[in-house]
Amino acid sequence: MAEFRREDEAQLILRSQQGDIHAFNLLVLHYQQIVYNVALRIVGDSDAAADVTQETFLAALRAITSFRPGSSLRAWLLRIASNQATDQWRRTHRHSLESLDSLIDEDELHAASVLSTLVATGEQVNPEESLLTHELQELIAHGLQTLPLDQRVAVVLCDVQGLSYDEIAETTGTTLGTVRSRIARGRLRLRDYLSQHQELLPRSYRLLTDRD
Amino acid sequence: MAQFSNEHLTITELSAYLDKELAPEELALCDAHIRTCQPCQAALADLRLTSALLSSMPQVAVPRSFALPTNLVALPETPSLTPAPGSGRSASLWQRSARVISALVAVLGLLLCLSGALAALPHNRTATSASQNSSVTSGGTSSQAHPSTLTALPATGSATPTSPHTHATPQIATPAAATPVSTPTSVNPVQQSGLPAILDLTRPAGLLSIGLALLIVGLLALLVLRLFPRPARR
Repeated sequence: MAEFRREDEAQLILRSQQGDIHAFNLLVLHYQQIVYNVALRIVGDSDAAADVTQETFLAALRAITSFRPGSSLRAWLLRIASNQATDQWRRTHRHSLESLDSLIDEDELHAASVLSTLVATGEQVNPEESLLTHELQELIAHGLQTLPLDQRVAVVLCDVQGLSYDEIAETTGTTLGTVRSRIARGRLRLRDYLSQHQELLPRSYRLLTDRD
Repeated sequence: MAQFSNEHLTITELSAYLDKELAPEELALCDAHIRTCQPCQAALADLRLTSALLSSMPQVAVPRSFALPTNLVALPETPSLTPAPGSGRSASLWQRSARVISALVAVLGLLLCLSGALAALPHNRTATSASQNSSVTSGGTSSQAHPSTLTALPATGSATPTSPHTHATPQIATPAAATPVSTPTSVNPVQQSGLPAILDLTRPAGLLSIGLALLIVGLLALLVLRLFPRPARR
């Protein structure tokens, strides 16, 4: 989708703040994919992610007048999205204090059916560009589910979506130091998870270090 | 912070190094250490791989459009988005100017009421015919303006303004009607206006009734605008 020019987006935001839903919907169409994908990687389920995405845009419309023109709309929207997604995840995982990983029998983990009920396998935007096998994608998605929420959000925003540390700090409302530490710990934890299932990693993706 | 080459880097430093998010002085030290430290190189490579795997996760297409239905009344900062109107804090230009006009009408009405009340006070009624004349002659010129203001009234107001005042006019009209009789010279200009006491701005009764009418119209309009803000038209 073509990028908005800053002036065009500023105009749409202004009109949205004046109650123009058509203008707001143009913003929705532009940002819905990133919002949905962030939600998806946080909650791990496509239906829940769709609910989160819808709630995000409703909440965004309600709060649009509090958006400061000139600041990043993407960071603002993703802040709402990540809050909605983490709330959603906590609601559905109220009873499991341990990570999802511990609830699943190791043998069952390799069963594709188990993985597919845990993770979403939606239609890819650019399937020909995907370097990962289906199984590997599911493994990574499942691994994300085992991360503590704040590390999960940080890693999804940084590595999956490519946001800068500054924008992640703005999105999560934290400092650069916090962002840096959450990303690092999230990556480390995911690395540990992947190294437990080295056999699922392609030969070229072997991890070098041992688990601590 | 690794100041000595045998002190390994923390995972946070390695991760920030990978993302090039280190301050220049931190970067220089990390660079120096990594160049000679095998374990840190391995740890960095693992982080790089993990990051690359995450980056390779495909972007999933949205299952449907999340555009909002356009029959929603988009009133920001209301607790629920339903077709029912709410109290949006950001009013359109139409609403803001309508509120200002209503407020001005109410204030004008209040001023007229006050001047009418003052004019109707007992000591004012016994004012000399000179002052009565001057007020009448000025009233004579202002009577030309009456028709326009009077025609404006029915358009903006409802039937209510006139009804509450019918009971008030008998008391006020008699003192007002009494004074012109005592000054025959002033009778003609008064009769030229040809308006009943209740609508005549030269007389206290008129001032009071029209003032009250405007005040009530203005307040009603403000109330209506506050309760039923019109949604933005698109």
